[in-house]
Amino acid sequence: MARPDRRDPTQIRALHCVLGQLNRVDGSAQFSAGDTSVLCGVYGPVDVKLYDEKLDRAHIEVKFRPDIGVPTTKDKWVEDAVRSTFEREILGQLHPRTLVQINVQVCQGDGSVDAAAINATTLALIDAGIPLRAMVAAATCVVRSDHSIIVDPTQEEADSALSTHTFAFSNLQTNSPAYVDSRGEFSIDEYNACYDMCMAAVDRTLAFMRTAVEGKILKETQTAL
Amino acid sequence: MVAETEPSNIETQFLLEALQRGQRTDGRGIYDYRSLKITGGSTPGLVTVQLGQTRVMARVSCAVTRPYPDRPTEGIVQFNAELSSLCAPHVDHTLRSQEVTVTRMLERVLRQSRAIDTEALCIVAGHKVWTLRVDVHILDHAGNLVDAAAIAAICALRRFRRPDVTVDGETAVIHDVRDRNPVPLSIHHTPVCVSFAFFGAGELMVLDPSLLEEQSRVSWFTVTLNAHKEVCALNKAGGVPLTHEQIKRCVQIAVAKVDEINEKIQDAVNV
Repeated sequence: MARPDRRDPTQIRALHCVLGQLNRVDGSAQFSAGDTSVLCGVYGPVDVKLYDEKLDRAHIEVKFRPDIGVPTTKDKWVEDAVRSTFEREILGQLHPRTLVQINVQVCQGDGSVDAAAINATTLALIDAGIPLRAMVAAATCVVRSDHSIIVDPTQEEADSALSTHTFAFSNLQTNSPAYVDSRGEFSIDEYNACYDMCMAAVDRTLAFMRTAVEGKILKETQTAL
Repeated sequence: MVAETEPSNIETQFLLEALQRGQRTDGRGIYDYRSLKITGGSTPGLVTVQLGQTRVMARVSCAVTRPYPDRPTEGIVQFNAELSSLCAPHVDHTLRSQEVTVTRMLERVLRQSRAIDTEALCIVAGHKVWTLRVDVHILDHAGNLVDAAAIAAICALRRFRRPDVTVDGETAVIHDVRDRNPVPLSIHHTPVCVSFAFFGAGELMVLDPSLLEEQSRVSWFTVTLNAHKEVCALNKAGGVPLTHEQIKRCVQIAVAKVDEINEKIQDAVNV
């Protein structure tokens, strides 16, 4: 079954990112995969409310805003997903009794928005200079009605899928994902196939992120000279 | 708890002294706008406006709903401006009140000025109309949110395409965007806001205030014009009183400025 945009089953959409566009936040990144575009801004470490203060580490807060309408429970789910992924990756022990606030704003949503949110967050955290254990990238796979598996679905492809799987991996090369979200009816073989496909897609995304960050550092050092 | 810090006395004093000499702290002329950049997204109805360091994103979407019972032949337009927490880690009440100001201004500028043809949004009178939703997300606040938000909203509305509809008596067929090209909205005119801030006892004035100027102002005034140099709205809410000569001067300056803004809007919209 051909894909509407004629991509291969293992082909992700063209990636694009811009770092450091916003001025008030400490770090920002706009990450786009095809028509899905997500902007993430990070404040940190900043003052924390007394209620949320943690004595031995930073408090991580995530705010996810959709492009259309007011936030709903689906958006709260993505907030929770991003928070649980990055609570482990951010070296919060270096900044106790502070707040790291991650703000994600969807500019355009065309499938795989939660994966794009995680990718944008990694880049924004790097731009803000917040210490991380590793870089995390995510990818989404869906199992279509004919049981074929495709990676990085558009909204149209995701709507008609039997099951959707989002995996996030860090660049530490361990075989354990940083985040897993599977919905729908699927077999364990389908799950494993999605796992492998997402891992390959994540490798490519991490390479892209690395190039983007290297480019930014080079530009900064060159203008400083 | 990080609150929105007010500018220090030294900063406001410096600002006032510079203005008394006809200079602004960011090196602009008194009647100069910051650089305006309008970019559209790949989806129609998404526009990002950057005015200096202020960055605003507008997103237009539509849905089919029932009309209001007292207006059965008119579509509905809803505005929602949100000061994203990208602007400040803890959005407190002063920032929230700015959100409300921007939403109210957009409603006055776009809905009450009859810029959008709501009768053209009717599908089946009394039963089905289009509801347009304009979501304005303020991504970066560096002063003058109203002007940026108004430009973003009107550009997004003009770039937006709604699905085509064929009406046959009481039944309507809404065509998928892949079967029939989506159609533009019916917009009568393009209103543009031009904002001024006043300082001292109201005798010092600037156009397009930056964040520091906005925080130190004693009065503010917005003129809304369209490309035909017609005044759509004048907005002065609170602050030090202004003389009628000042108001007239502001309107004249706005008339001169609206051309350059309109040129940029036309470039962004006629893509």
